[in-house]
Amino acid sequence: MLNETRRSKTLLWIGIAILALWALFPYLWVIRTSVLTNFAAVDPGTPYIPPLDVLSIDSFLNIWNRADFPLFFRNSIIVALSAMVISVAFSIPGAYAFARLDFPGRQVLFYTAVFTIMFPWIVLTIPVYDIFFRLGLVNTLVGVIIAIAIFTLPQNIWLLQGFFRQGIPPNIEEAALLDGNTEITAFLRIVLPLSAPAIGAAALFSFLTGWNNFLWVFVLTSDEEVRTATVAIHYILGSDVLREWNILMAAVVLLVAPPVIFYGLAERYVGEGLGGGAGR
Amino acid sequence: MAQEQRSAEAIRQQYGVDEETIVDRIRENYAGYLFILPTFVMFALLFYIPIVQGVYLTFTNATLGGTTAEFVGLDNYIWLVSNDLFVFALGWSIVFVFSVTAVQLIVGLIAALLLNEISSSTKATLSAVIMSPYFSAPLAGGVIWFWFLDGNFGFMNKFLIDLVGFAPSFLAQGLWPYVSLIVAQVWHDFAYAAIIYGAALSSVPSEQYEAAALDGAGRLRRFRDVTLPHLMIPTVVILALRTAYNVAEFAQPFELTAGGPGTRTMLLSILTYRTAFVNLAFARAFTIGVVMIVLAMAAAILYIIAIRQEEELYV
Repeated sequence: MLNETRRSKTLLWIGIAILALWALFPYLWVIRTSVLTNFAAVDPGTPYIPPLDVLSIDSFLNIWNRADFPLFFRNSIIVALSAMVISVAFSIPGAYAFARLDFPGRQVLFYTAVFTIMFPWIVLTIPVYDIFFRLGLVNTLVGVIIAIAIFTLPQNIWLLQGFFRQGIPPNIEEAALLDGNTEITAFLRIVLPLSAPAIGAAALFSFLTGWNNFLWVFVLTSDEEVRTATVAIHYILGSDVLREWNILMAAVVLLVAPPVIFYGLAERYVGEGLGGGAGR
Repeated sequence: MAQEQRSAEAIRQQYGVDEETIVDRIRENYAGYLFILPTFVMFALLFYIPIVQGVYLTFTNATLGGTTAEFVGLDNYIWLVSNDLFVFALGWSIVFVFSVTAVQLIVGLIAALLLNEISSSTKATLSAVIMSPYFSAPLAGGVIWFWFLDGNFGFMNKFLIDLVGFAPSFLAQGLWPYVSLIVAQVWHDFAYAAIIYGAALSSVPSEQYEAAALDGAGRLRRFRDVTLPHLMIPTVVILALRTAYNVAEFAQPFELTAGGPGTRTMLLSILTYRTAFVNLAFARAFTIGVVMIVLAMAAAILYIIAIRQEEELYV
């Protein structure tokens, strides 16, 4: 920053390199396996940097006719997309109320919402399973969608209320109220159009959180038809059905790539808004 | 009489005490309640009602698919404290949560400090690379580390055999499974601390550094006197949130060791899952869950105290 010497600059870049290596190395090993041929993937003699003749992208082509992977990824998209729509639709008014409207009980509700972000959800699966069992929602995509929509709700509320609080000056609404709008029409006509970028970001996050989710799908389903990619990979790894490691690792790459790329692109844009626990 | 009334009015004005009925308050704030209603319904459906039901469950002997559940008083809690596996899982979970949280905090701080020194053109790309583990699915994190540490095909295995001729079994042997679980968890989530610290560092006014440098303060003194005070509340926020998340962490350790070999790396979250969905003892599982909730709630209270002090920044 100030008085930058050559030595401290070198140290800085060494530190950055170590961190990047630490973050990327386990990924690289998975990617390496995913681009090997079937045999080279399990051959201990394959060098660290494999020669060209054992490299192939067959795994990424073959995955689409193995072990119902198209179905699993399609389920992942359906679940993440539907949960995203529900969760965003519910979180917009909730977040606005927390950020702007003052009403008795606001604080208690707000801190409850904070606590839901930090709640050990594995515990909640037990009574929720019981309730869903009675409602006939176990083993259905609808049940999974409802559960994940509510799971991503606190995170969306958190993100959006931060935006409403800081991104929109209150005097815009005051002006709208003076113009004869009610609080509701002021919100719909003025605030909502201004919030489009933040709502887009919240939607992206809840999509990716749904995409990454393992727990709810794992607990609430047992049939293959309603399995998402995360749960499918778990079951394949635990069974002897598919021991084509390059194809399994290609599935992991396809599972990890969307969130990592999208978050990477959106990173500067959201900053600490990620506080909602995207990685859960 | 008139004077008495006026003084009552004055007191009300002074302290902001309004005499109004509940109906008045609802009418006055109808917009707030209307906006919050969908959220409240969602939370009630999947949060408030299940928790109340779950706590009630702990006083019964309910099982999955069981038709009748009898009231058994504190039996489940007595079972809990006399169960060796639970006591072990509690102890190991506490060790796991504390060591993971502490190392995540340190690695995250180092990452944030280093990234803060870089000029803006490459900063975004480099932080995206360094933060990338946090955004991968926790389940994928488990698979990735399983593959990295695997005894037949893993990198560590191959590398150590090439280097020194033998390799321990990282997921089974001695203390290695514990170390592996902690390292993998730090890898997945250290970026969370880095993101929060990064936001805090970028909000430190640069004049403060310049003033300190003019006064002849060295790099270390500038860090201690200028940077450190700005990092106190972020530290509490990270500690609280990460503690709660690490208590709740399920997918990655479950995929990596599933509490094994045997039950030697059993965490509370995995034990809760196994008790509920493998042994089908719902009531006992939620009793274990109550302990997890207490741990998470302690962290949440710490968090709320911290964000109250700088509500502008973090609420």
